[in-house]
Amino acid sequence: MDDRRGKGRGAKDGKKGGFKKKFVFKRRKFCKFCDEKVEYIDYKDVRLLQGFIPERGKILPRRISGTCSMHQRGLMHAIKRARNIALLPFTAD
Amino acid sequence: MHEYETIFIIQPSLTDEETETLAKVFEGVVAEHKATMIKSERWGKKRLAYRVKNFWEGTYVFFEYLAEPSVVTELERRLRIHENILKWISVRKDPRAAAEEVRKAARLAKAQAAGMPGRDMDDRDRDRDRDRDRDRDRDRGADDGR
Repeated sequence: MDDRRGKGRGAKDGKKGGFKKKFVFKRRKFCKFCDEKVEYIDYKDVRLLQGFIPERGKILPRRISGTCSMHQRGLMHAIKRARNIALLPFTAD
Repeated sequence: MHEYETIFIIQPSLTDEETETLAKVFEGVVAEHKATMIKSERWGKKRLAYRVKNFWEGTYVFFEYLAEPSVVTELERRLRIHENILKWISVRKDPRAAAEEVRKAARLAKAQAAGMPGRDMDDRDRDRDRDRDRDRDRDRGADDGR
């Protein structure tokens, strides 16, 4: 199981520099929003929200992103609003 | 009185003047009900994330105003009736949102001070839109008219 988790994180880091995953070991997930002390997630901030919708257009689950429940909820509301005015897709194929 | 924000999307095939007049019409709706307009922004033509009434893009207009709830109802009613409006959304502004805007501005200023002027954010948006367009057009090329 540890192995699989390692890979997942590696893939994420892999964007930046190819072989980096070899050096990165376990890192605790943390809530990005708590870290930055975000109080309210704005639905107009497409750039921010896009980080939480993978290719398919679904909302990234918090078991992957590590977002805390409070912020995940805020994020969900923001994404749903953004979808409503066509800033984000409902689905993408 | 509460702060509200409304975003609506105008049909892209209108000329700039027509679009502007239309935006002015809805500004008028807010004004004539003793409401105060705080912000009225034109975001310009943007790609839609999905097709709306057979359009892939639309002109976004953003209003932020202080008003009674009835104003929102009226504005939405008018938007619903108008044929050149593709979509709209009205939201009562979250009190925490203001603090968040301040925080964001501060962070941006800090980033710029740190010597990361970078490119204009709008440029990046445009690039993203362009890339998305290209990908989508390529994908759609194969099975057009679906």
